[in-house]
Order: sequence, then structure tokens, then C-alpha cells
Amino acid sequence: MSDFDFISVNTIDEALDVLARPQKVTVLSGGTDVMLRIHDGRLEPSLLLDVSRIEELKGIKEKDGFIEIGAATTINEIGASELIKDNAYALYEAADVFADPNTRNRATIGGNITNASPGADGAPALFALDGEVLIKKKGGERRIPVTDYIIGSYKTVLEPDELVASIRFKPCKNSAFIKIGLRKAMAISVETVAVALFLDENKIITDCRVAFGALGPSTLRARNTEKVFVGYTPNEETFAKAQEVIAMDIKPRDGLRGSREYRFSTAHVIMERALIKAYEK
Amino acid sequence: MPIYGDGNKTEKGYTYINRFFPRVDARDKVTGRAKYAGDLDFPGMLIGGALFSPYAHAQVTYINVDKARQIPGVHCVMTFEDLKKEKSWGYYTFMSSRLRYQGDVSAIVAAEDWESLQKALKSIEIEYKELPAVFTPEEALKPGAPLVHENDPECEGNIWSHSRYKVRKGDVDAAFETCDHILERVYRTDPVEHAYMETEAAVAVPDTTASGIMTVYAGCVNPFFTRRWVADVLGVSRAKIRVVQQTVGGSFGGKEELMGLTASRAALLASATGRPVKMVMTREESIIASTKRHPFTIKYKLGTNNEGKIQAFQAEVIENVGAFHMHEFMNFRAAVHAAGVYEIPNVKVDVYGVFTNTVTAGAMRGYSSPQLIFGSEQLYEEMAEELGMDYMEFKRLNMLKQGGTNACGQVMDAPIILPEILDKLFDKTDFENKRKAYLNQSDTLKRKGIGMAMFYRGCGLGAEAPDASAGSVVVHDDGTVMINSGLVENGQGMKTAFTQIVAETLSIPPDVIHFIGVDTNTIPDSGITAASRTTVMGSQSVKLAAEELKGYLLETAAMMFHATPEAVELKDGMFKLIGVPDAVIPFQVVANVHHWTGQQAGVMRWFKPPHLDYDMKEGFGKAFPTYAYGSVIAEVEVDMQTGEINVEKITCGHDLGTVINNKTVIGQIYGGVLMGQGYAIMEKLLIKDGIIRTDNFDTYMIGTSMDVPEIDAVLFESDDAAGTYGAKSVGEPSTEGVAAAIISAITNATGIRIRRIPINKVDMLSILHHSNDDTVEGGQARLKSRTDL
Amino acid sequence: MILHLTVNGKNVETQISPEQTLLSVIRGNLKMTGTKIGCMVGECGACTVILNGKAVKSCVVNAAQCEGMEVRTVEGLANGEELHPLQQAFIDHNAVQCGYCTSGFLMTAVAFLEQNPNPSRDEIKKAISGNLCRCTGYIQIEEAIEGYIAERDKPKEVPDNETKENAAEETVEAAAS
Repeated sequence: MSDFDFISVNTIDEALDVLARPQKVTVLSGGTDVMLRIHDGRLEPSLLLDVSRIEELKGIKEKDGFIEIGAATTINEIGASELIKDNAYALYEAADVFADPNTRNRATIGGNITNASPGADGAPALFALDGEVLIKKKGGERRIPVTDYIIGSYKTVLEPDELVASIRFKPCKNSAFIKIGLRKAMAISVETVAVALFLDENKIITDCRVAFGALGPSTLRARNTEKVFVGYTPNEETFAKAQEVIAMDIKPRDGLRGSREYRFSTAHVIMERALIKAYEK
Repeated sequence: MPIYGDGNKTEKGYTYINRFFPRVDARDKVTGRAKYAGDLDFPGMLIGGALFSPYAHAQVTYINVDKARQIPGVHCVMTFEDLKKEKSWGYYTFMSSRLRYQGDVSAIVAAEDWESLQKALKSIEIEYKELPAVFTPEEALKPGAPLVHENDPECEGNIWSHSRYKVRKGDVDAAFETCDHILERVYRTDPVEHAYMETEAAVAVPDTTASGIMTVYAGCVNPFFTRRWVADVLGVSRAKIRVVQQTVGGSFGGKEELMGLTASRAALLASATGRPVKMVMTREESIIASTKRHPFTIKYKLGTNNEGKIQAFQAEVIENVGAFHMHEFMNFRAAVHAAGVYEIPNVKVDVYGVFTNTVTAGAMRGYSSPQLIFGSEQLYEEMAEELGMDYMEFKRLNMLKQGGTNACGQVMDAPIILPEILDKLFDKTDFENKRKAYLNQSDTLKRKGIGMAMFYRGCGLGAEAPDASAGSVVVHDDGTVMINSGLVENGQGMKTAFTQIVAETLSIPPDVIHFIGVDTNTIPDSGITAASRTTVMGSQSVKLAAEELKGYLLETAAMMFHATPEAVELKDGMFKLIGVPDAVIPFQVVANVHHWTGQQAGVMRWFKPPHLDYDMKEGFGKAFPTYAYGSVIAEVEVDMQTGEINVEKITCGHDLGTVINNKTVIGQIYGGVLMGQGYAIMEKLLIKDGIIRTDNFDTYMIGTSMDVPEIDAVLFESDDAAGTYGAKSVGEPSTEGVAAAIISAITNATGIRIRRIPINKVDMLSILHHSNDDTVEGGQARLKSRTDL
Repeated sequence: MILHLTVNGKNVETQISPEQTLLSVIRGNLKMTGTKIGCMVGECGACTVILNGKAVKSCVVNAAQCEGMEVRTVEGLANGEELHPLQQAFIDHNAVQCGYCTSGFLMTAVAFLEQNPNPSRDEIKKAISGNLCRCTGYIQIEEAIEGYIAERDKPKEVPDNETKENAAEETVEAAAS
């Protein structure tokens, strides 16, 4: 028997009360990462806070011109949402290849970005969609870009007394996600890319966002590369230019699943493919 | 030759074999009732665990278990200091202060539950001195290299002397002098994991009766080996140990060494505590400490004349056996099969193992063939290219034919149906047209390729060891029949096949036959269930027993008919007086009379195949009773920008002799194909300085349902008297040529030779980018560093 | 702490610790061993059970979170000695070899078919992609699921003579297979 405790709550406010306690509280939603980390000893919580019963944390809705996803919404719920499919295809595609179908029944989007694994498949799509994270704590809340939320490998800016409530982003009709894994299902990513495009009536790109996952310690936005495409279309010239610029954005590393060289040489390939896919949607 | 299920079904005329019969153990498995060793529970049972080495090579300089013993719930902590002897009969150490690889153990613990067990293992105070280590044969064979085993009569330096096997035919040196073309190449293969879904598990239950010392319930593939391990560690006779085989959750050749060690360690703890002890390996422990497919370095020299006829074949096969080894016999098989299914007048093969401080190598499905077929089939393609010849023309020219002699000089007197297999498969896949078309692909992004491998496999153990086994058949007074064998069910379908074979022999419906399963107290040691020997050779003994029992039953029936036994027949569960239509007595009625009249109701028979005249010392002679032939065609698409290799289709043809159970055969082939595909393009076991980095299924990749290619399996039947009802092996042939065919297809697609497997997409891209970097191994140099990541 | 579950229709309560997995409750506390341990990292799927209608990998499900929930395991599929038709299909299509992964596949397939009663072959393939099997190459498992659907959708009542014809055809097929 271990010496930590377990509390299950039904509302966000109750959760915030518990988080305000001085002890080390670990938020438990789907548990697919937390339970692993407890099992292998990487995580030694003193109190587990179960937020999976908080209805306020679940669901996908349109609000104030944004799509808002509750933090405890499961990946399968995201994958099954027409709203997501129509307005955030990159996230839909990410949900479709995220881990495996049964893990997707438990894993949640809030958990995915808060665990902040370098290979988190939910994160690149949210990065490309310019997602914003709503963070609550007792007596307050803040909303920050998801790109500022994840700051490193398994590192976020979440304070011990804070809870991720939801993630929102503006609808995007042209987005796509591509994953390279070492097998066709249930693979932790070697690398991923998400692209979100906004086009004018002439199909010229007015805004372009490209995010990579698994290349380095955390998900990243390729801000210099993105700029290459603004005012243009995806074509041989812009691709050639992007290939020159991309080194400014990505610093891939060697890892168990892929070499630095592999990641570097394929990053622009999958980016091009994702751009074309998003553009032609 | 006829193809099973192809409309012109074979005219073999069997009733209960040569067709589907549902697995006899399936009902227990689909209901969750089947008991694997880890499922067992006994009153007072403790949980056992082991302290594995954190280093590839280390000396324990200090160990103190006092604190661990104080942990509540801990009943026993033992270290190497508590052993009568460290080294087991099977070379491995039960526990040791000298840790020669990551899988070595210095202490074991028995506790009430998992949590206290883990606490105790963490509380053992231990200090290590890391020792210089060697990880590859190249390092291990350097003069002055650190020795894995010192002062060991079985070693010459780091070479394992017992492991030297050879084949000699003709005079290669003289032949090379006269060859018009000579090609030298080095091929390498890396270790891969069996990845059976159930890890090694055993429960040791102390036996307080006078007759025994210990009963061990284990998921073992050779209960008699497991008994030997346990008797050895406890220092008692075989008769005092009883091993009961539980349902086995997959083997593929594994579950031998680590299974024996797990059972031994559980038995030590059970013996010390007087309580049942269950020890189940975690997945990580299973992967770091269990054996792997032998990594090979194969150095070839091949010579032909201008017409493309092979004159001489020379191969030096060096295995990285890891820190321990008990599979010297594999090298006999490797030596015989190294040159493939070709007729070559002069052959010289030398095989030997080298000890290193890395994971140990052991039996795995194919037992050297997947490595050798990959290497030699690629070599022959390279030679054809060198000659400016089409490789199929080259292969057909040199193919082994009936009446010819194979590499070890065995006269191939049985039919060789390889040409028919090739014709059929080529026709089905449009092989020749595709292969030529794919040589000129302008589309650089995704390239298609088609490739092939052809091979043969000696069935059974051959001259390696006596391929003998026991089988028993007992008839009960209610007409049910109980059978047993010294060989075991691993999941492959053996119980079902044996049931069908006894049904066929007795001519009674299979559903009245019950297979017991091995308990070492009930049947003689029949060796290991491996080498695809089980159905081919192992079932001969139950067939003989059934035939003998049938004779006794016919006598009883004859008595009831007031006739002579010759006038009576047993057909489909009915005894009939031949020629008298209404004179029929059901099987169970005769069985009942048989019992009450005191007739012999049980037979145990022993089967030992005819002696093979093979000279192990000279490496020449009749190596196997018969061979099974096969070919695999692979169709792939390679993404030139990401290195992704998509295996689109596998078409394979196997010489089954006689199909015993068609769906079982197909199931073996499907599983074998996926395993073979993994060996080519997925299953990278990453080892850094002797420490395995891919120690669970999140990092060690085996195929999912999404990775399975389309598979078209063609089952050929032939007439060959050697196996039971003419059956030949399939468990291993199903996987052994797959990697070779896929690599051949990748070459067809990309024009690049792959000389080291497995690769994955990361390696593939690296090879595509660097194929011109290294003249000796064609871009494979980079892969070395990749594998040693 | 005390955990209350409905397991295969029966209410159970058992003492657990907060970090326990659902798998360890099922196998350890409830002594139901049909659900298997394969990897403990949420990969292999041997531990798959149905939790409130959804297939989950019980080795990474926190047990305390399941308070009051309904769990279905392989032991609950058959009705006494009468097999669930999917279990029968697994037998008939040779979808079982070593059997260690089998209960996980059955539970994944049962939950999947409840949500998607008429899947395509590709959907079946995808649905089982989180369960590893080393023996079968998955194909006969997919065939078993398809076979179950075909059997389920067979017209139940047919005229007498047609039944006989069908039966005769089946016998011929069986002999040929």
C-alpha cells in the first residue's frame, strides 16, 4: 500500500480548492500517462486528484468565434467531432493516429499538452491552430497561447495550484497533420507536423502556421519557415525557399526513434506534404 | 504438385486430417479459463523477484541484504553467496557476483506482495565495479580483448569452442583458382526479440511428501529442460522434481533459458521459505534477460564460371552469442543451410560463436535460416549482377534438383517441388514483368519493388540430436481416448494436430480424444518442442501408440463378432465386420468390453527416426531425413523522401507434404510473415554499451494489424514418406524467407543493396542518402553507429 | 479505500490503494485471471476490458477513478457454457493460437461492434490496432470478427426446404475446406 491519497471531485471549483492545498497534488484525468509514470517510479504523488468526473471540463463547442475543447475531453471524442473535422482538420487527423483506439478512449487533450511529452500528438495541431489554454486557479484564471504553455520536455508553465480548463482556437478550413511513426498504428512519433493555412479568395496564403512535434525537447512553431508562404501558394519555389529557412527553426536531436539527420532531412518533406494537403482541402 | 484448396484438392483420402478441426484448447482460451503460470494462485503463495545487473559487465564488490530482509512482508532474500554453485548445467549462472551481461542476477527476493518485493530489491545495498566489456565479435576477437569467461575449458579466448561446426564438400581452394568470377561480401544481422505476449512465469510449490521436493508449474516449452534447471539448482535428482506445463503464451523458440532460470530461482525461494513462490518476469526483465535471434556476421566468398555456374561457395559465419550460450547445435543447422537451396560442387562453411557482454542469443523461429537466407539470396543476386545475368536465370541455373547433392553432400532423393512453387508464385504475382518494369522508375518519390527468396529447410532435428519422443494413447471404458506426448503445445496448434492424427489413425471422431499436456511425472523426456519437429517427427510416437492400441481393440471387437481380427475394421468410430453390412458395434461399446475383459487399454510408444549417416566432424553426409521447400515473393513501395517501406503484398508457397490442419497452417504462415517482415523493416533492438534501450513494446516495435500486408499463402502438397502422414514443417519455413524477399524487393525498387538487417525507415533513408559512402559495405557503415546508439 | 464496481453484472466491493490499476484490482483483488498482463505500459492490449461501454487498457486505468462503474471482462462474455457468438467465431476461424492476447481482442471487438455494428474490414483492422498479437498475423482475428457479423446477420427463420439446402451446401463446403 502506498502512502498517498485520492480525491475525486465533480466541479472545477472543488478541484481548485484541492489544488490550493500545500501538498503535491497530481491531476488525474485519463491516466494514460500519469499511471505509467507512477508505475515506473518517475512520479511519486502525495495526492491524486481525479478530474474525470467534472462535466464542465468536457465537450467541444463553438463560443465567441472560437472552437473550445474542455480539457478532459477524450481524444476519441475529438476524433468523432464534426465540428473539429470541419474546423480543425489537423487536430482531427492527429486524433485519428494518436496512440491506439483504446488509449484514445481514456487519453484527454488537456492531459496530452500538460504531460508535454516531446512526442505529444495533440500539441502540434494546437500549436498550428494558435490554440489558447485557459488556466484556472482558486480566485483567478489566465489564458495563454499554447506555444507559451509548453516550455520543454515534460515541462509547462502550469503552477501547482492551477488546472487546465480548456483549449480554444479560431476555426481554420485548411489544416493538416502528418505523423511519421515506426509502425502504422500505436506508434510514438518520430516526428509530426501540423499546418494551418488561411487563404484569400484567390487562394493566396494570408496566414501560415507550421508546428513540428517530436523533433526536439518540445513541440515548436517554425516561425521563419511559415513566413515564406505568406503571400504565396505552396509551390516549388516557396518549398525551395522554405528548405533554406527551415534550419533556423528546427534543431532536431538524436533519439531512440530517430536520428537527428533523419529528422532534419524529412521535416521539410512532411511539411511540404502537409502544406499541400491543407491547401487543397 | 497439387495445391491444397485450389479446386484440385489432393486425393489423399483422409478423414480427420488434411482439413480444419477447431483447436482443442480454443474454448478455454476464448473464455479466459486457460491457466497460464502467472494466473496460478496457491494458499500462502509469495511473489518472487530478482535483482538484475545495471551494467553490461561488472563485479559485485559489496552486497548487504540486511535492510532488505527487514522490509515488512519480505520472507527471503538470497544472494550468490547462498548458492551451492553459481553455474547451471546450461552454462548460465543462477546468480553471481560476476555479472557478464544485463540479464545476470545477483540476488533474489520472496515477499508477500509486489510492493514489498520492489522495496526489498531497492533496499539491497550493493556496490559494483564496472569491468571492461566487449560487445561485438570484432571487439571480442581482438588480441588482448577483455575475456567474458576466464579459465573456461569451453573457450578459446572469447570464442566458444564447442560451437565450431563446419561443412566440407569438394575443394573450395582449388575451385576458386579456376573460377572466372569471384565475389566477396559481408552480410550482418542484428538481434531481434521473440516478443511472445506472455513473459516467463513459474510457480514453485514445495512438496512435503516423501516422493518429491518441488513441483513447478511453468509456461515452459521444454518441461524436461525446466526440470533439469530446477534439479540442478536444488542439487537433487530428476525424480524429486515435477514440472507441470501450463498454457504457454507463445514461444517462437524462446522460453528456454530464462524460463529455466526463472523456475530455478522461484524453486530456490520456495525451498528456503517452504512456501509456494511465483515469479513472473516483467516485460522489461523479459526483454533484457531472454535470448534473442542470433546476430550473424557472414563473410562470403563465391566463385562461378563464365556461364554463371557456381563452382565454389565459402562462408564464415560468426555469431555474437552474448554472455552465455547453450545452442551449439544450431551451428550444425547453420552450416548445412548456409549455401541455400543450390547445387554447388565445392563448399566450405565454418560457423562459430563468440562471447560478448551483451544479450544472449538462443533459439528463435528459423534457428539461423532467416539470417542465412537473407545473406545468401542477396549474395546470389549480387553475383548475378556481377555476371550481367538476370538473377532468376542465375538462381534457376544453380538450383538444387532431385538426385543432386546439397551443400553437405546429401543426395536429394525426395521430390524437390521448388520449380512448381516458383512457377505458380511468379504467375500469381506477374513477377517477371513487374520486376523488369520496376527497374526503370522515373517517379522518384515512391518506388515500387518486387523481390523473392527461395529456400529449403531440413525437417526435424536431423543429425543434430536424436529426434526421439514419447507418445501415449489410452482408451477409457466409456470410449473416450486420452493422449499425451512428451512434446508440448506452445500455441502453435500441436494438441489439435496430434488429436487429428490419432483420430485418423484410430478412425474415431476427434472430439472423443482428450490431450493431457505435459507433466514430467507422466511421460519420458522427449526433448524440446522446436525445430518444427513436432508434427513431422514428434507425432510419429502417438501414431505408433494409436496403431498398437487399435490392434488390441480390433481383437476385442473380433471376439465380440466371433471373428478373427483380420475380418474386423474400425471406421469412423464404428467396428465393422468386413463384408457384413449390419454387423456394426460402436467404438464405446467395444471400449467398455475391452475394459471389463481386462484387455490392454493403454500404449506408450517411442519414436526415433532412422539413423542419419552424417559425419559431424568432417561436415558431410545425410543431415536431415527430408527437406521442406518454399519461396516468398514480396511487393513493396519505398518512399524515397522519408524512407518509409510499405510492404504491400507477400505471396508465399510452402511445401507442406501433407496439410494436417489447413487453418492452423495458414495461421502459422500469417504470423510467420509478419514476424519476418519485422525482421526486415521494423524490429530494431537498440543496444548501447550492452544495455538494451528498447525494453518494452512502446520502443520495441512489432507489427500491429495495420502493418500486415496482403498475404497470399499457397499450400503445396507432396509425397514424402519421412514425416507423419507425409507432413512437413511449416512453423519456421513460414518466417524464414520473408525478410530476404522484402530486402530483395527494396533493392528492386531502389537499386541499393541492403547488407544488414533489420532496418527501419530511419535506416532506409540513411542508406538512400549514403549509399555511395562506403565501398566495402555499400552504405552500411552508418548503420553500425545507428545500431550502437 | 473501498472501491465499488459492477463486474460482469455483479456488484463487488474491494479494498484498494489509490495508485492501483484497474488491472491489478481485476487480477489481484477479484482473482479474475482471464484479463492478462503483457507490458504494463498501455501498449500490448492483453489487459483490455470494457469500462462503461468503452474498451480500455486496464493497466493504465486508475482503479479508484472507476468507482461505481461497470466493468466487463472476458469471463462475462459467455452465458454459462453457452459461448458469446464472437467467442465461437474466434474458434471457428482459428483466431486463437497461444491465446494470451485473445481476451483483449475479444473485449476490444465486443465494445467496437457495439458502437459500430457493421464495420468495413478496414475499420475492423483499425479497431484492433491497439492490441498486439505475435502468433496470428491478425488476419484470422479479422476474419473471425467478419464471420461473427455474417453469422449474426443471417436470416434466422427460413423455410424448411431452404434450410436443408443450406445445410447440405455447408456440409459440402466443410468437406472442401
